[in-house]
Amino acid sequence: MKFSAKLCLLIALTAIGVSAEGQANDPVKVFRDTRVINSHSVEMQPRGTMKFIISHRFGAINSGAQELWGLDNSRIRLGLDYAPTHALNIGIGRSSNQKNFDFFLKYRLMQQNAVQPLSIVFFTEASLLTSEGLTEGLDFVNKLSYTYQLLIARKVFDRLSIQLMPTLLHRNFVTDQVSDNDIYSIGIATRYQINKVWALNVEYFYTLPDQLGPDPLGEERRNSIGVGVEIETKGHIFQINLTNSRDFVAPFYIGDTTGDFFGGDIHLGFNITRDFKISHRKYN
Amino acid sequence: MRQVLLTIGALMALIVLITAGTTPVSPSDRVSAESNVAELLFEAGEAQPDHFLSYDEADVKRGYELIHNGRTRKANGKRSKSISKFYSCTSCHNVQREDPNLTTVDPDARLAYAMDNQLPYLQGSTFWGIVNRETWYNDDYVLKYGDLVKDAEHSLEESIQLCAEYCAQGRRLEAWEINSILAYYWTLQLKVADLDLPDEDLSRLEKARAQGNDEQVIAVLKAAYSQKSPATFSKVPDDKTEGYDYQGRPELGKAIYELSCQHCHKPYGVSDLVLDDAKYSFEWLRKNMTDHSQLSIYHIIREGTYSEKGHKEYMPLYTLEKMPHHQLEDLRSYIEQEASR
Repeated sequence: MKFSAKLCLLIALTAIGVSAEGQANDPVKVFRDTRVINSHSVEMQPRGTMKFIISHRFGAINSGAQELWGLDNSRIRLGLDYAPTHALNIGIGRSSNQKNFDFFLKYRLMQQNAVQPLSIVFFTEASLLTSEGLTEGLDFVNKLSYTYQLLIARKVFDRLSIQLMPTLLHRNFVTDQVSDNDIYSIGIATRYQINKVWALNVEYFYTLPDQLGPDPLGEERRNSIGVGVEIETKGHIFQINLTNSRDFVAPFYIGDTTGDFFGGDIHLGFNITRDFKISHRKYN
Repeated sequence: MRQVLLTIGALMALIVLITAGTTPVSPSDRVSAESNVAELLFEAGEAQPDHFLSYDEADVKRGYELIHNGRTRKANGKRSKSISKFYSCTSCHNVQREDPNLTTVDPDARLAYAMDNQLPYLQGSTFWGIVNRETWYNDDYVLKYGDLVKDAEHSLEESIQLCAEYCAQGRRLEAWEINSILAYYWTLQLKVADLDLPDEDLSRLEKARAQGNDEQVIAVLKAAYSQKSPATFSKVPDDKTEGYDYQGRPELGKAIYELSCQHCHKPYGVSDLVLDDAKYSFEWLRKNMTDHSQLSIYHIIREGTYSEKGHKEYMPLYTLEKMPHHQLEDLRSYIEQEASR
């Protein structure tokens, strides 16, 4: 834990220390998309636009040929993000796993430019489980979870961006006697631009120890890790990911990841987005 | 005595001869630097154009907001509907002077002026002085818009409508919006000072006014600025590897990249395609230079793109007047220089 904390701090300080690029107060685009792999990035939808996101996570690659290495078994999230202002994004999504609905709000606190060294965004999300079997007997409040994150990022140089994500996850109800309702975690994400079209993303959430017990099947809960590539097409971003998490919202990917990435519990996934211009944009 | 009378008579005759044909210029015939060119023309008998109107400050404010923000508040205080979801008028048009010399089309002088004044270097003609022009969507624009330019060519109102509906992929404007925009445009009209008239031309102008020589007044004024923005479409070079037959100047190409390309393609700009100063952006542009598609700077600049289903916004082409072949080679040389750094 100490080593990880020091590592994160070192990376953050290194990032801040490197001189800023860009001219005058032109904002710096730190990431290309609003998502890294499972987590949000500091990027926001521009005002007046709506993004439709289709996300898939297949079964584990090590599930064998019978399962077509996981392709027979997928989970999906459909989401809509909307930007009423440049600084505010709101969104709604629905995941197939546990019929979970999520509602999020993202608010920009700072934008990296030649003067400001970082982009900082506050992110909060509420998740609602609606699966009848799993939530039987639970009242509405106990079906809810909340996520609070500070997304702190910097484009260190042309090709490399780094983001830290201190996270508090609160679950009103946990399914075991061991896990805490409040989970503290810190995530780190990096993006490396290989060329104009391709980029490499890596994301890792370190959850502080002794907060999560095993899942109801007795499987150890693990830190979420993912790697992916990002392909920029004509105005759209297509992401292909490999991750040990099967789900798309923090209560699951931080609080309920059991896959052992290095043991082969890797899930192929992708995020496809389509932007719609709903109303007039005001350009910088 | 006779000699004295003869001398006086001769002097008087000389004075009459010298001043013959000249008329004293009264203060009312003097032309102030702040005089509006259009008003001088109207006083000389030039017919007021269809886009002439009387307006007040509120109209101008609304027009300013429509041009710069795409929407404003109506007279009843309600917010108007956006003209376009994709663009503001200033995405493609400046509202300042662009050319040091108003009588000639000189893209090099215009680029130098844009560099000196840090103005965007754009496809569209400036709104500054637009009310003083007599035709719009000139020449080859018929190749892109066909019959749509028939009305627009001789009507500023219809040109605004064409621009709003098709170029900006927006909607047709209401009459009050057109009037507001025209009101704002009239605040950008040419003044005598803008014409940079030499002293002799200014003197000719004042004398012509004093003599009531309207034809001369109109001739002097109209010789000092262009009444149209010519538009010549061109083609990509036969061999894109070789490009056009010019030696590129990367220092000017840098200015074109920054003032022209990045006006829309900067991060968080009008376009989703970001062209920043990263090496990989230049490498991508260089890689696609000879491509037979919109990804090649030759195709995108010479041909632009067209609106299509699902992606209605498009990039207008650059005419030769807005970016001649040698400037395109300047841009290419800068891209190649930065991609190789």
